[in-house]
Amino acid sequence: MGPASLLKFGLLRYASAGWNPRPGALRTVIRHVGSSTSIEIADQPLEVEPTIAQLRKTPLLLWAGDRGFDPLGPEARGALAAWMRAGGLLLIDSSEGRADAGFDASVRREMAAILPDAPLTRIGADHVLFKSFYLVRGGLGRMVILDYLEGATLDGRLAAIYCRNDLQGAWAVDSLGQPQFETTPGGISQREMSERFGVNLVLYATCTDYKADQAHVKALLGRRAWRVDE
Amino acid sequence: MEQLFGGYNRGQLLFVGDWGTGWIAAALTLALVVLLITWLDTAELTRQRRIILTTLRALTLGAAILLLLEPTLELRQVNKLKNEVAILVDTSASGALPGLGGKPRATVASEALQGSQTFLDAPNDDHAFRLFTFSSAASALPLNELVGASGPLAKPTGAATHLLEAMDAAAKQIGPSKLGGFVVISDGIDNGLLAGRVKRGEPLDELTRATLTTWGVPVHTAATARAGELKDIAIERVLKDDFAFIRNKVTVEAEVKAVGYTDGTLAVSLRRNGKLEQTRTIELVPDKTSYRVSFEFVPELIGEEVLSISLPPMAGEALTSNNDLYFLLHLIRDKIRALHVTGSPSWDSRFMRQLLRGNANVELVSFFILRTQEDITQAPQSELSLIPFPTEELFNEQLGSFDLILFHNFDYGPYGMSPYLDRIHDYVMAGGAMVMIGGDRSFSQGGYLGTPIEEILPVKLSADESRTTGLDLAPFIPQLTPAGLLHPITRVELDPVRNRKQWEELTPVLGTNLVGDARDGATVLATHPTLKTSSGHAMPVIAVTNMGKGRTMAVTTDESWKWSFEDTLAGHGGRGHSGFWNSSIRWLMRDPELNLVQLDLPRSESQPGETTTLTVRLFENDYQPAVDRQGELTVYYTPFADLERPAQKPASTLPFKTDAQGRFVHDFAAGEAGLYRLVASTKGDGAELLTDTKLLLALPSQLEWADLEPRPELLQGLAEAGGGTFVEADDLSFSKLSFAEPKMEQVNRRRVIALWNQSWVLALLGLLFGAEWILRRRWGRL
Repeated sequence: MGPASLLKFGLLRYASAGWNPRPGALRTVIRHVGSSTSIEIADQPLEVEPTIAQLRKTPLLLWAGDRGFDPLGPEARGALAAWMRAGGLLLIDSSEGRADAGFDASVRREMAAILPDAPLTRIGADHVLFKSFYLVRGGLGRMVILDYLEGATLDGRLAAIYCRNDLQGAWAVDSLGQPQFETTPGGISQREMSERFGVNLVLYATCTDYKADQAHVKALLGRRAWRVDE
Repeated sequence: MEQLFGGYNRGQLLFVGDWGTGWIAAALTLALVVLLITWLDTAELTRQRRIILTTLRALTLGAAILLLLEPTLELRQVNKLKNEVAILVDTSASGALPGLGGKPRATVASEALQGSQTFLDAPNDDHAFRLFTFSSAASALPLNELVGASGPLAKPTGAATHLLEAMDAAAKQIGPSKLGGFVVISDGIDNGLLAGRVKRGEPLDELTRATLTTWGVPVHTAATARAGELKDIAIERVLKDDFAFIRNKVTVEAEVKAVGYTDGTLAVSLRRNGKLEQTRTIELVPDKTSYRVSFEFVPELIGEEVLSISLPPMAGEALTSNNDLYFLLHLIRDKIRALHVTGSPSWDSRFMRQLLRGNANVELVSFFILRTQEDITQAPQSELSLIPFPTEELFNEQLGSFDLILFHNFDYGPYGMSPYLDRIHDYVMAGGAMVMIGGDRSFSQGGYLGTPIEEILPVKLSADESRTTGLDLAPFIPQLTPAGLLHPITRVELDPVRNRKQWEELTPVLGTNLVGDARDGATVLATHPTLKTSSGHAMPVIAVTNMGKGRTMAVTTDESWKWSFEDTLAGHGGRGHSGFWNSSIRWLMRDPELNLVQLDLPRSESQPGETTTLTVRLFENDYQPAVDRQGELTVYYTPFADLERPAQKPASTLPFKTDAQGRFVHDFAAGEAGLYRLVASTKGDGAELLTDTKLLLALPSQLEWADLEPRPELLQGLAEAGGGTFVEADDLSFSKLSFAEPKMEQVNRRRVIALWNQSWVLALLGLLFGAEWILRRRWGRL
């Protein structure tokens, strides 16, 4: 409760450069969450370094980049692993706009070291992530390099979600609120879906698989014979 | 017995010569060779002489061989041994009911035996008659004791009728070789093996037939009552489980017996703890004696209930004590069905959901308010994955199905829920559980001040002018109260010192709802370190209370998730969150395992006067056995007629002290029939009274009264299968009954006469040999 308790979207500052390739893009999603959902979210992203003390500030983090980076130290890797195991959700977004680039290789190297028992795997199109608030379908990001997302699962929930399509590029707007980049090949629709996905991501972070439950509520409610039929 | 001579009545020729078969065969072969030679050697003689000589030689050789075998005559004077006929007389309680001629069935049996006394007492070469009484077991008894004024037939009280088992016991006592037959005198209402094997109207089963064949002796039966002459209604039996789940429909079925009543209706009632719950009506029809009725209800509270199924007394009924049947139902919890309603998705609600989802004992129904009327989206509804908040379904139709409701920073106003607040209040008062968790949509901020929800919360809400914001946003760590140090909810560590330290090391939470004092009877487990209520007391942060039959809990912050996330990251393991909330759920659900006093009864029913060994276990706060701890066992007795007004005054109180294992073992004897409420108690650390209660029903055996209709056809079936005769008991005449011949004899005198060493035998042998020698010489042979 109160401003200090607002949900904060963290931005991981893991290197001296390249950690924030789309400055301000995250605010698009934050605004969207604030205006269209009941979630009380802080206006500004929170810059967080990969240390236990910093990671404690929020369980939701964006790890963005547009280039390869040096290996994280064991302390940072350990902190990120502990953070995800404690309940953190990490969104990884590559802004490189091409396959097999430096950031992708660095991220895969780090994730393999951070969560060796939870490899990145393809997230199915029927995952609750795509219906936690909006019904999201089609390509996501500034360009569709991969038509699916990857994720690492811990205890039945996604702890990390990896998008190689430059999600932030689709979210980024200029000072007049106009999109900074074209979204291809889907154009406006792709941009809209990307923003909606951002909202869904925050809802997934705070409600996990709640939406998946909804399909079963009727059956669940009817399962207990608790009334005498008159 | 036929006489031979000299008083001997049995004779036998024996050969006592100790020759082996080989020797005898060799002798016979040699004799045949000699005879063949003789026959050939006399070929020149006339045929007549030849035959005479050969015959004489054969006789001589035969006599010689016979002598070698040493023939002996054994003479015996013997008596046959009598076998024993088992007369089994039914002394079960149903013997008191009217039988033949309107007399009690036991009296009919008694008169039949007395009428046969002369025959039974008269000398009998072949049979001895052995009397057994039987109900649940067979025991031998002399006739004069059996039919005497204080004998079992004068006052039959046996608790059961186990006919086949009694026959088997009698057969074993007599022994198979001495068993001469059975005479069974009974009304045939078996409630043992036969009852399960042979239903009314069915022929005798193969297994029973095989048993009768094994005995191999006549089985005669005599019925003390006729079918179709009695009028009675009874609850024959109840079909139910011993355990049932609360908040789940329980079905109890009763089998009703109606004999002699062929029209009209019967009202069958189910009572719970003496209070009428339901009535079912049976339409009586001719030629039908068994009916089944079904009751359904939903129990709300964990524990035990006394249920009874009753029939009203009918005119002309033989017995009314079988019109009521009492039994206990143990009520336990199935999975905990929790309704988690969140006003706004947050980290706190997410971590709570994760905890509830991870608890295998919880069946979770979640509703998160994802969007309010103030939230705007340009996307059409078809592109939103949203459903309306089903308030009617949750808080009207399905409310009673939930064991626990969590209002998590949830304000009811925007969702038109005012009409349901009364229902939630009543749900808690009737045994439900509710938690209110803080936030800017909760407590006073959620508009609950002055509502029925406020009435059930453990804390009062405040309309104090100085508290218009309703929130205090300063970080703080909840401080345990003395009660909180020991309470199972906040005792995340067993050791009080470590427990306090654990709480002191928790991550501070950011802000709290402002609430007033604890409600009367509520327990404050943790308070705010600085905030006071308007009365000057430390402001409750965590408080619980019993409310009606239910329980409620208030947690004035929505930041407990930090005790999971941040404390895990800080290396404290996050047990503060899971330990606290899981213990809260267990307390709210009245988990019996949290009880520091545990009273165990090995069974929940006994007969009046019967002893039951009970055990009381007392535990320290850390659940170690409480050794040498004083306590009391208090007994409250309520007659069945007063179940609706259970006794408030103890019938007895027994102080005790636990042993080295923290136990107190006691033999408790129930007195009169009725309900015994046993309460074990001890004083807790805070001088509060800790108790555990168990119920014990003292019930006279109902077995004999469940079915009063005689079963002569069963007795007839036994007689037919056993090769005997069936009669009504007043026609019983032992002299007309046949039994097995005795198989055993007793030898009184014995004489052995050796034939082979008699002089006349030797003379005969010499004569034969001499005659053969003389004739052979005379006829010119060597």
